[in-house]
Amino acid sequence: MSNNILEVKNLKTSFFTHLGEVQAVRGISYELKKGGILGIVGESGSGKSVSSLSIMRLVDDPGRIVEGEIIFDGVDLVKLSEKEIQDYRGKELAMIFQDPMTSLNPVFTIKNQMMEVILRHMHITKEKALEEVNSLDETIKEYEKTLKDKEKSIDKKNNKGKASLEAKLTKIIKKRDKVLKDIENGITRKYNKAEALERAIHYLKIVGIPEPETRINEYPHQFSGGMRQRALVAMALACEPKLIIADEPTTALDVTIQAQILDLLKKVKKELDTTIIFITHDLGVIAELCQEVIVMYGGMIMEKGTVDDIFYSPQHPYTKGLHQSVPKDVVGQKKRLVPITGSPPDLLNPPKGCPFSPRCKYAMQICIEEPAPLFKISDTQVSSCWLQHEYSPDVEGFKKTGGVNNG
Amino acid sequence: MDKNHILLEVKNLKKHFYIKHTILGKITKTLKAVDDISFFIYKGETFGLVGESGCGKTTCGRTIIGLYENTGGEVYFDNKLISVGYEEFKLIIQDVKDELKLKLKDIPKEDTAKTKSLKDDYKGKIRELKLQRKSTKRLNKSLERNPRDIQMIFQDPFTSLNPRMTVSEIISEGIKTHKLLSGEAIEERVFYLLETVGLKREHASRYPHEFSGGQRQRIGIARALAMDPKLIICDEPISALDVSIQAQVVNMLEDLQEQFDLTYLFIAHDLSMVKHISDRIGVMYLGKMMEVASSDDLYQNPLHPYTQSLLSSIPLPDPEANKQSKRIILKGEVTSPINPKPGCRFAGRCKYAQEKCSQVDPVIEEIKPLHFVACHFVREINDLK
Repeated sequence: MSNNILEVKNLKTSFFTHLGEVQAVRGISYELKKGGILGIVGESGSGKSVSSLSIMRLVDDPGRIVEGEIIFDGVDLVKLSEKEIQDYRGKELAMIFQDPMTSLNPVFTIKNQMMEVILRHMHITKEKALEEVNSLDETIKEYEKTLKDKEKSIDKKNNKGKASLEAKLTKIIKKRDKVLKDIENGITRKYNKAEALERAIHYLKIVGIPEPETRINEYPHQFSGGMRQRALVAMALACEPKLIIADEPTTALDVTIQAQILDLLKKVKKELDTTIIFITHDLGVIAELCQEVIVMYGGMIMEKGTVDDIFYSPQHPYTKGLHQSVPKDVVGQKKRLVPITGSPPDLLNPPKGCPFSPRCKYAMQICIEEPAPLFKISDTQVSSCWLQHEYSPDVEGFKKTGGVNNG
Repeated sequence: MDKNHILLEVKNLKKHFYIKHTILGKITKTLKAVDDISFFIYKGETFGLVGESGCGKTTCGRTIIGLYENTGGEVYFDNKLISVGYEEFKLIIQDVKDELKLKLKDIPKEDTAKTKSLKDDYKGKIRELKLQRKSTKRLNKSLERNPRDIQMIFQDPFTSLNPRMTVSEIISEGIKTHKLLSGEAIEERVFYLLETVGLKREHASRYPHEFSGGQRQRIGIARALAMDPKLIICDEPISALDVSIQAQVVNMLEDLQEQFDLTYLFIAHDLSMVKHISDRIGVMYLGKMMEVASSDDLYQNPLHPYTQSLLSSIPLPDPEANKQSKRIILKGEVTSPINPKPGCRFAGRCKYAQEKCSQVDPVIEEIKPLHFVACHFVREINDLK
């Protein structure tokens, strides 16, 4: 197996509404290496959220994954049944949602909501299980000893309760044997409530909630926005998932709180070595946090590359347009912004060709007729623009390649 | 920008929301959304107002335009007083009454002569305050103001347009209310405005739900322009829009400013966009103005510790610059503006805070020409003379 933790192959997700099929994600493919932070950037309606919800298999009716594979750790998540995917959700894959105000249940305490996921998924470690077996062994020895003492003594009074003791002993021995067998098979028991609470408090401490022992008993409305988002991060981390999907986790927060949460995510990534997919529309956040970037538009991948590729040598007109619409930090003479004209495509009737072609100033005949494949620019960068094709005219600022990257 | 002509001047503006006792009607808590802020805007300038959510920037804009009655302070438009606050006398009177009660407690009940003199003393004081309140109220009522001069663009283009009105009805509502035009002239005006904001004539008969976010915001702008205003208060006009659409609207606002000689009060929390569009910027924190300076000056050398950390927490759209910049990450969160503690509002999160900060409220003063800062230790922090 490769060191890719996630491989998305030709994923298509649609919503079947009364108006018709809304094609939210139209065939995207990408791989994600273990331990990286992948940023997905795009405007609203570009399919960035739906593509990640598809990975979690959280696309609700009338939405459906129409086609494609999502290989996570060697398993195709698309093919799993609802029951099977529940073992992954929260355990292997976790999600941090956009709005901390609405993604927590207001009628349960933080403790209740955090413990739920831990009790559902977490099994104790093998070492701990063996320790428990040892302690069971000791009790068994104790029992055997008292039993023997009782047998030795002639006094009938002492013989009382012998039968129940024997019953207890057989029960414990049975239990120990079962645990031992389970350990051999690689199964350990689930967390009990006290252990789950301890773990919940531990993770609240990691995300920087002061006095977690008392605050865990509070309800979401008693937390401020930043604190709720921290609690959500803690909840996502609680089972040490291999992949965390953060869907615009800082959009609803103030800049100073956003800086705190970004700092926290960086710290968490370093300490726990998880992989993160970070979805946002803010190029600044991408530049700050991510190593790899996917630019999405109209349900398709427009460009993919490292942060340096995307920020210093963008090859797609849409990426370039995005950069020009954001004010750069220039002092003195004001530079006018260069907006992208028009508005995002209607995904009910997406353009036949490249989704960006109606707004693109370089649009050619082929752009309107056929969507561009991903052209390989360099080892790390691919771009989906016909300008990269060898038959296209030379345009300043765009590299041309002959080959097509089908990967 | 005309530096000799101050279009809007705000002096000691206050907007307090009183939380009253359910039965007694006594003011128990005061939410000081805007607390004693002063600034001015030159004609033709864009003044940016930034701050975190809950700092009172929107309330400030709404109070200026008159959607909220101001609790205290004065607003001048074109050197003419347009509103005076009188509500704050209520709180002052209540405070005086409380003071009297406290003093009465100290005096033994038998000492009737002393009690009486004290009561009389305070009665006079309260009467005077009540008279003052009455006269300010009368003054406020007598003030002449032209509601057409100041218009507003709202934050959320999805809720600020009435879904039951057509675009033409939305835009012409103000014209009809003020009886500025009639008959076909209204229609012509609507068409002209639609074309000015980059929409088409045929859009006039449609309903808001038929438009995208960016287009709706254009309708909102056309509605504000309909009255030929001199000042437009833009309350987060772009924060609900996509990045590529934001640039369209910002560019259009800049064009309109030139075309119609407009002055903007631009309220936003997106600091990089505010810097781009504004000539001068005011930074607010919990109802107080912390720093006012020209946008370049503010961004290059912010003097207030809050501004410094606020600016450093913006992630820049440039990976290299991000690596080099040093973040000042603030601890804690914005505290509640209900019954704020005395002293500097930022003291709890400020790393330079000293004892004085939590006792004395800093006054905003001009540290450098046209650079105002409200901080006791601004000179020490920034090594200034």
